[in-house]
Amino acid sequence: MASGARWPSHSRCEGADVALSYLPEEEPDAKESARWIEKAGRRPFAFPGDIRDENYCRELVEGTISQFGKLDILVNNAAYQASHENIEEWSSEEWDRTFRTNIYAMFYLSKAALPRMKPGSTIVDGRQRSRGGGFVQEQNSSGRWTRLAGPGYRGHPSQAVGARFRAQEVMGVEKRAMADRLRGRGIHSTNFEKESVMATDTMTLHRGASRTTRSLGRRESEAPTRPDSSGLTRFLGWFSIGLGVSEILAPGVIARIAGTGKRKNVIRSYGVREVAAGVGILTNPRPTKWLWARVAGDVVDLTSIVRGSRENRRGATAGALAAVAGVTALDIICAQRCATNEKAAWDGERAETNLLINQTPEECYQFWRNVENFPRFVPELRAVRKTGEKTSHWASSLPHGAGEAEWDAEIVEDVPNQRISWRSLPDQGITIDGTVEFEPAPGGRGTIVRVQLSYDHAGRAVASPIAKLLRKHPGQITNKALRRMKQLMEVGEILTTEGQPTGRRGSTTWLDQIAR
Amino acid sequence: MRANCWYGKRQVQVETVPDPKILNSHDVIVRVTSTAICGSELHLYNGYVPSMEQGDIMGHEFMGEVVETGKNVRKLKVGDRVVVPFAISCGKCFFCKQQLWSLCENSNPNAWMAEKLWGHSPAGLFGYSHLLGGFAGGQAEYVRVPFADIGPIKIENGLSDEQVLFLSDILPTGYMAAEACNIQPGDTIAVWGCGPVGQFAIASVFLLGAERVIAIDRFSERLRMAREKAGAQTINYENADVLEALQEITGGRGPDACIDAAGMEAHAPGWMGAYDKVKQSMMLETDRPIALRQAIVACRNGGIVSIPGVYGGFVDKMPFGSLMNRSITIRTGQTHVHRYLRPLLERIEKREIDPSFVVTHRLSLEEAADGFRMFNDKQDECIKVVLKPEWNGATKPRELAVH
Repeated sequence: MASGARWPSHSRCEGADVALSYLPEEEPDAKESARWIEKAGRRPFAFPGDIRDENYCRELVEGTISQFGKLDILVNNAAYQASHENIEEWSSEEWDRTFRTNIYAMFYLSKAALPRMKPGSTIVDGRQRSRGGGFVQEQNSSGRWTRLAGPGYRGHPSQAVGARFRAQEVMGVEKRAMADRLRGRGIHSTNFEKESVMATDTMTLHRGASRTTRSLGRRESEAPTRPDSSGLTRFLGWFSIGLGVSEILAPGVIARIAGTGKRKNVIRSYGVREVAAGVGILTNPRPTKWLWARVAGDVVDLTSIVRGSRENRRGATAGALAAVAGVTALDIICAQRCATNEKAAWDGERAETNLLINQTPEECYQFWRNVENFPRFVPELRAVRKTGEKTSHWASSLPHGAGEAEWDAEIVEDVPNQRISWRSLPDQGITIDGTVEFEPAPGGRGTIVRVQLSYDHAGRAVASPIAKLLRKHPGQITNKALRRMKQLMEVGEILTTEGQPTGRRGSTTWLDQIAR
Repeated sequence: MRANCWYGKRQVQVETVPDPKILNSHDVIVRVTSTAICGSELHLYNGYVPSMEQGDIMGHEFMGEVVETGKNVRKLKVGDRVVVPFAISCGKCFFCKQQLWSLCENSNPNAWMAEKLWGHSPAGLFGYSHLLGGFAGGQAEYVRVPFADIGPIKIENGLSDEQVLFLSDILPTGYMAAEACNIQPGDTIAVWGCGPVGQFAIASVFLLGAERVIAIDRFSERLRMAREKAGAQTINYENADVLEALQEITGGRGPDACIDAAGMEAHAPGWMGAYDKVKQSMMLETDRPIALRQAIVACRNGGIVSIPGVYGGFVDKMPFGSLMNRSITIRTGQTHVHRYLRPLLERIEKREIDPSFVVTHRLSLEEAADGFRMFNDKQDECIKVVLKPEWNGATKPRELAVH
């Protein structure tokens, strides 16, 4: 079920029948979408109304089910957003409408749909978000971006978006909490961003191929509060590749344009450098260092142009210098923006890991539920003490060599033989939240233990690069801990080589360090 | 104690190191009475296997007497005479329960390293790099053996060390390679490499009922052993075109199965050999698959290529089209030694095979470095070296086998 105009084209890819919710005044857009769905050989079901109305939401769900017989994917896509320079300019009506459309409706629809959805279903939140600074944009059915906030806006983005993103933050927090709870019911709840990558992720999840290893917690939903540099980054990446290919294929032409001597092989080697930087920028989710590499390359280019300049080609030299200097400026701006974004987007760390253990879910659950077992397979833990039925006290050395920490934790959800969720109590200077799920492997081949952990600590930022070098990253720790748990459960002990003889002449080496 | 340690490319040296201790409750400590140098250790010796560390104790073919047991060891007691498989296996995991012992999930503490290189980790091995667990090996006076109730086999009859020592690796390796060939009466099998594993592969192929074996090598003493001790026809690839010769012998059809017992450091005369040598030395490929390429191309349609030879990483110019279009089956793997211990010990007891025929050199442990050099450089007609820690310091009854 999708409200809004873009989702049908995605659902079409998946071969789904689609119910569309739309405001009566959006009739032309809805008709267009319905036409596309029919063209793809699927059935559309257009159902006009206003999702701010809870009754309409219920009717929408029931109507869809009577039409198609079931509901597999709910896409919460519709949103209303306005943009103002200052908070005083928001009318209370706009504020109310924003919350009713963006937040209340999500709740109404999910509430109405959940009882009718089977495990394996998906809820997708694909709210329209702003791109390109302070403008609020929306994509229409033909895939074009239009500005909703009017073309005249020139203020600083952060001022304009301030109030709006308070609202989004509320939404983000609520969504995360809801996603956690829904997972236990076999229902995926995912955020759909406008990038095709995220859409692909959504589909992968829907198909059930959810092999995850480790991901870093980037809070995507807050990215718009900072200047978005992805367009510029992409431009520079492709520019770099284009220039590089030209330099490799036609070094003579490049030399003529730049007004320098024809040292073809030198120019070709610059071309290779440009292509490498371009690929690095385009393929790396954190391209800052590649952008700085481009800046360094620009300096080399500038020097080469000046030194290689020919007496009779002064005009060309000046032109080339100006062009390269312009690109250099762009590179620097883009690198700085990316650096700021990456820094701000770093939001604690998340680890997701899983392992197949040759024991029943009951055995795995029992082992995990007895928290005092933990120091046996997590070497970083000094002690874990049960302080109540659901509470416990933990003492650990911290990753990143950040010292020691003690904290109290409580189990927030406990479904025997299936799932345990826990969190650290607030205001302890450390946050460790996690969920473990015990999924029976097909054919009675043991249990797939899936662990998700998010971790944050004040000392984290300082020592992180060194720690990563030593692989003492939470993801690594989780992974290693699971392996050790597997050994404990299958064999009864953890095989070690620590303390065995060696003819090593020096002290321990890097290999020892990372091996432990 | 004294132990043979790795210090770098072509550098091994016997050093005094601390005695091993019981580290896990299923460990035993074995006093080594005989240990051998394995052809696969030459890949370590020549520096082709990553993650070796200075001072690592070598050796994965060894046997001896139990001198200490961990508190949870049930089947072995002090004084037992045992041969120890080179792969370490827990006996409890998914793979051990399917008899895929060299793929144990619980015996490689450095599994993450192997996962980076190979996608998934196999079992830990004795003395075979940190990628495979970093376990101290058996070319030493004493060695710690984990999961002692699972791996070691007790020797309770009067068989000599040399008759049973090779149960630890090369005899089961040659046998598993032959078994993989799914031999039918009348089959012709070609074997590349007439080192110890090649010799045992030839012998096993005959045990399993093959009609004819063609052995390929370039060293006359190895070819002679294959002819005289194992009963094969031989091709010296320096004097003949292997593919042409195989075509001629098999009437143009090709051998029913081919065994690559050469592995990643195969040699070849001419441009192909030079090509791989250059690529390997420039780190453009990790392994030289010369024998493997020939084995695939030579094999008859619908035949089997069995690979006991060790490969470490990536190979180049594989004739995959030949493989696919002609329905060739590839079978390979580190040997699941545990599976073969009992049946092969019985064959030895019944005198169906006497593995000691491959031994050419018997040295004291102190002479390990000489043993490695001779074996690697094929000096002194060296085919298999057995090291005797007990001879250290004492008078050494040094002798050479007569061939």
